[in-house]
Amino acid sequence: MNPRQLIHEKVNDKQLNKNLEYVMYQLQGNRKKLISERYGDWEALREEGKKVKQNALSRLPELLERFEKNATANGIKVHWSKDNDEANEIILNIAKENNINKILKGKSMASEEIGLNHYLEKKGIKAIETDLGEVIIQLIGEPPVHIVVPAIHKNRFEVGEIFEKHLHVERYTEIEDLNRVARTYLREEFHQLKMGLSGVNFAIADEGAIWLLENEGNGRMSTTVSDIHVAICGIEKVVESFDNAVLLNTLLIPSATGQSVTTYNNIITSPRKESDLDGPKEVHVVLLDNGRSGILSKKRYSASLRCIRCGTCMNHCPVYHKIGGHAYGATYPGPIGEVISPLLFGIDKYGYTLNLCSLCGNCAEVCPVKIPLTDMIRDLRNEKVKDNKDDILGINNLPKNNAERKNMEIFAEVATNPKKWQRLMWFIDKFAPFGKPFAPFINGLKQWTTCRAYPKMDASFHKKIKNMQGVKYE
Amino acid sequence: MSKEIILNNVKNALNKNPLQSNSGVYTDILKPIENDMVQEYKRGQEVNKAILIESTKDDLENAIKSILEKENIKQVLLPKSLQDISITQEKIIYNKPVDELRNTLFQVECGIFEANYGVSNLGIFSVASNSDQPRLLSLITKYNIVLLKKENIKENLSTTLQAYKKENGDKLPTNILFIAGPSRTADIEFQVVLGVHGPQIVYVILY
Ligand code: SF4
Repeated sequence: MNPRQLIHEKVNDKQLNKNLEYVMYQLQGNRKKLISERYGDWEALREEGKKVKQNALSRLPELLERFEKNATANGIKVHWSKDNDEANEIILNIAKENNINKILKGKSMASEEIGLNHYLEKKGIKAIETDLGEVIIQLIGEPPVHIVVPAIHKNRFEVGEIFEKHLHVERYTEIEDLNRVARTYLREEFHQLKMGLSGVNFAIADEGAIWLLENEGNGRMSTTVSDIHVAICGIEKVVESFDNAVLLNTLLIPSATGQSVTTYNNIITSPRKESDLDGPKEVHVVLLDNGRSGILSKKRYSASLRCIRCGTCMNHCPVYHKIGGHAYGATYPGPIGEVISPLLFGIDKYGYTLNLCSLCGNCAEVCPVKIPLTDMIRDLRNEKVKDNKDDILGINNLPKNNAERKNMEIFAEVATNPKKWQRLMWFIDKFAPFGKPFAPFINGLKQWTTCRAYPKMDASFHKKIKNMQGVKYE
Repeated sequence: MSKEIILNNVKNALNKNPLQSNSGVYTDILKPIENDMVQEYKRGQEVNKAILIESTKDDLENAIKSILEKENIKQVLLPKSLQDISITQEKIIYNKPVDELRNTLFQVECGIFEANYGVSNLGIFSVASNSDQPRLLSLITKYNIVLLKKENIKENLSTTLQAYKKENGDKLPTNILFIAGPSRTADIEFQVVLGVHGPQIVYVILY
């Protein structure tokens, strides 16, 4: 399905719109209420959070090496992977060396990014998701619709049907029952577990430790009852100290869920020590570049690496509300996805998502680490048409869009000439209302009106000013 | 080697695009509702859906017993340090490696353990794994009974982590956990349900 069809389908999916809208407003409301009632100077803390990440990025080589040194001293095995192939291969080899044909996964967007499940399946290893939301979408072969609440587009009745069909249980409609079904199904799996996989929220250089956040306990299961724990960690996740992580944690959780804290903060500093009675015997951290160092080299876009994956930019995006995460066709949806998907995977592949944005600016206002998402989206749009192109991945594969350039030139010409501008306004004022019935046949308007309302055009500004009392109109 | 390639790429990126920034400073901006640190902890811990019970050191055993009776618990998983506690329920002592106890562990109803710290501003408790108190005690059972000394309540995550570091010298525990209460999910329709893969009912006895 091409992107236009996909978006069209999602805009018209009433059930999706309803499920999504309800939850997004709840997430927005909870966040706002919590921050205004319980937190002091949130804005100042955002500024500090931004500094922590910016500082860590500015010293990334040093911090990565310090992390490796301290983690290794703690007994953790650190691997480096420049791209998804290498990361997948490292994980496959760990499984193979230990004769493992099934792994259980806590939630990890990085594993989605590298297409780990698919890769392992091709090699004969089953990767089973354990986060409830991920379980649901894995059963139906869908990617996450949201980075924090991956199956939020499905309501209880739909989940009941999915479980009935794929887990062969009776059809339940109560959420508690559905939860029980998932618990029982996974309990069996955890019992047998040999190798567990997780993401990383913060990697702490000074301590050689990783910090994982979750509510369900599946992440703890995957990283505790297994013999081997593998954590995939984007290189931008490294911070210097515990206090840096505490600060980011304080920003992350209210932004993500409107709570102050997750049920579990799981800080892992080493594999099972000789005196310990449980915990994995091996802990591996796979550091992943996969295009991140490329983003770091770009002045306008390096700040996107500050992202702590809270998802609040999508919760506040009016476009995301209407189309959901799948319409972006990429691992990372919403405003942050519009920025990093083209940069990580190619602007030729994901550049179209930039046009989904209405530049309302909500996302940049709520982002806990103050990433100027709207500026970046606008700049990336500009990259697509400007003459001296930056070395954005895939930029040279973009088809030349001369029509857009021509149109903008005409617009600039009219907008900078008062006479021409007035004439245009007069024309719009007189004829725009007649355009509506013809919109489906006029190029440009046609694309616009398939997914959006016909624009309300009011060009009577001059007339209104003229008629205002006390205005002398020349 | 990919390590060299990545580090080189990162260094080159920073040469091309030098970033500068002082690091940020953490300040605890959560506004307490109670004046007293212990009271604030208690309030928060209940908001986080743990059942809070106050007791004294001498009465601790009775407090545990009455929970076990109330919940009709038959089997209890205990760390070595609590193995002498006098209860009528069947005691399973977690004194062997998980590999030998696996089947039993997945069956037990209730785990009891001592928390290292409480965190006042968030209303959560913290437990670190060690040879006496393995990690699964706080994860694998349906019920948890957590013992917490009032004097071990700290202000926030930052001060608690400092306390761990101070107590352990250079070596940090293998696993430090901060736990808010029962495990939960809101993955379906954003409705909160308790008891997913971790405990469903968590008692904290503060003494
Ligand atoms: S860009 Fe900002 S708001 Fe969006 S997920 Fe990342 S940290 Fe959260």
